[in-house]
Amino acid sequence: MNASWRREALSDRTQAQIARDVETTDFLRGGPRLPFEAGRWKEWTHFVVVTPDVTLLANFSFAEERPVEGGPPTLTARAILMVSDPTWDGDVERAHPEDTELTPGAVGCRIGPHQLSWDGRAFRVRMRLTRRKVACDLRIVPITRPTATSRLPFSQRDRVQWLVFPRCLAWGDITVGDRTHRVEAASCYHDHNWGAFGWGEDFAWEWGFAVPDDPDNPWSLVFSRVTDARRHAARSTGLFLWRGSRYHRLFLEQQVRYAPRGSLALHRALKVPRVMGLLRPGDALGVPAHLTVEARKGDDTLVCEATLSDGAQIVLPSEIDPTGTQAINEIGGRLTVHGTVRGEPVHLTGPAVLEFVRRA
Amino acid sequence: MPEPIHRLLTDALALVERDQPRHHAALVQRWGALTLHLRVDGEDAHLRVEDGRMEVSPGPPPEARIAVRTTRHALIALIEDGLPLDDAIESGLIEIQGALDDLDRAWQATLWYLHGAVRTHGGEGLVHRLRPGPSPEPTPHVPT
Repeated sequence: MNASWRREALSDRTQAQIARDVETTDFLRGGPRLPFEAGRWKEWTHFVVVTPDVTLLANFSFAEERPVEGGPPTLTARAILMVSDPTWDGDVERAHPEDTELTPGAVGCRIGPHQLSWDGRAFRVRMRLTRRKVACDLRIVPITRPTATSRLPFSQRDRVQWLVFPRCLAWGDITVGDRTHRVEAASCYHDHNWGAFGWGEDFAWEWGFAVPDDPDNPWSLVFSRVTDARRHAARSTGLFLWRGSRYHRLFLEQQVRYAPRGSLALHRALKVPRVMGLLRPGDALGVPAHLTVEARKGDDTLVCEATLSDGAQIVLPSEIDPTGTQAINEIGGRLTVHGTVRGEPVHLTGPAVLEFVRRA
Repeated sequence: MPEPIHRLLTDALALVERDQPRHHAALVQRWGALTLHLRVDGEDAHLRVEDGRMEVSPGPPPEARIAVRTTRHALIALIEDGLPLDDAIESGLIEIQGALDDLDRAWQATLWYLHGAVRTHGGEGLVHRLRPGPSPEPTPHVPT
């Protein structure tokens, strides 16, 4: 392993390719395109920064909702900012439509005081919560090329599009209370999702990424799994491996064996928006404490072992069940990966952030 | 001068009745014949069902099967700062009296109200009006 891959990833040539990727794929769609999608449209763009001292989740989200029962859907904008250093703080903030800028086809948006922009080489994520002392001002440079857009099957009809830049570098400030963390070339993950579905419908997903502790290590990994809500039947499973800036190997469906173990209970985990804690109290998250993912395709093998330890919950009202909720568990931990791909040994040890979506 | 608690509660219930009528109907059906005496920072109000809708009146009721005593700060801590309800009760920030069956019924009805309220887009304004004055510093989230 050496640092040459990062020099290559930051070269003008690769950066120009990645900029084209961003500008041709990572723009906001801004609303439904097909008749059956109308009223159920959702789109969000998501960043996760991971350092030894701080983890940050930043999310710009648009969703068609019916705040009046039986009324017309309205596109609702929310910004989510959550930071752990190591105690979690953060919130979800909804902006008035007149205080929101969303232009279909543009990379970037504004949700109240929270801004996402793209300058041709880097994202700029500027967020400052209104009621809590949590803020960030980050410049985020993608250093891996994305997946081709994946279509995740949430149901027989619904496909949610998923675009992943597994590894970026982040510079800037993250503020929690009186503490400001200056990050310099910190590891960062970015994805963008859009499609039509309803919270509370018959699906669950499990998704995660890992980046190495050693910044010179060229391997990056993303895992995703979509099942029915009870998690009895997998609809889609994938393990995605990048080497340096390039997409290197994909393991799909039966090539991936998924084995969760134990149950992670987080005493008094942060739940946002906080009022939703009244509707989904308790410490059980429905999340495993350990996870093994094994992938095999011909001579290529990967074994991933994750130990999960910490997290927070985003809780949403169900759109199906009038007294139901949907929890998005954002869980941190450590991951080790070893194996052989295309005749080359793969080793990765580092922080992982996983997301488990659960219905209740 | 903070807004009277009975007016805030009237508006909070009217929002759910108007925007999420199914939830309001379930609240009314589960509430049944209960009368709740609420005292917030010494200000009395009472809640009961009248003519198929929740009614909030100022002052104490002639008699009540449930009594709840609390403060505006405690209500805001529950709604906006993540204070768990059981902690609020155990620490005395909320005092509740009543027969267990009545309390369970009132809580099941209240859950329908809350599920309706979080599906509307008017809740933040009501919480803002609940504030007794300058906002206190948000409570840090401290896992214990």
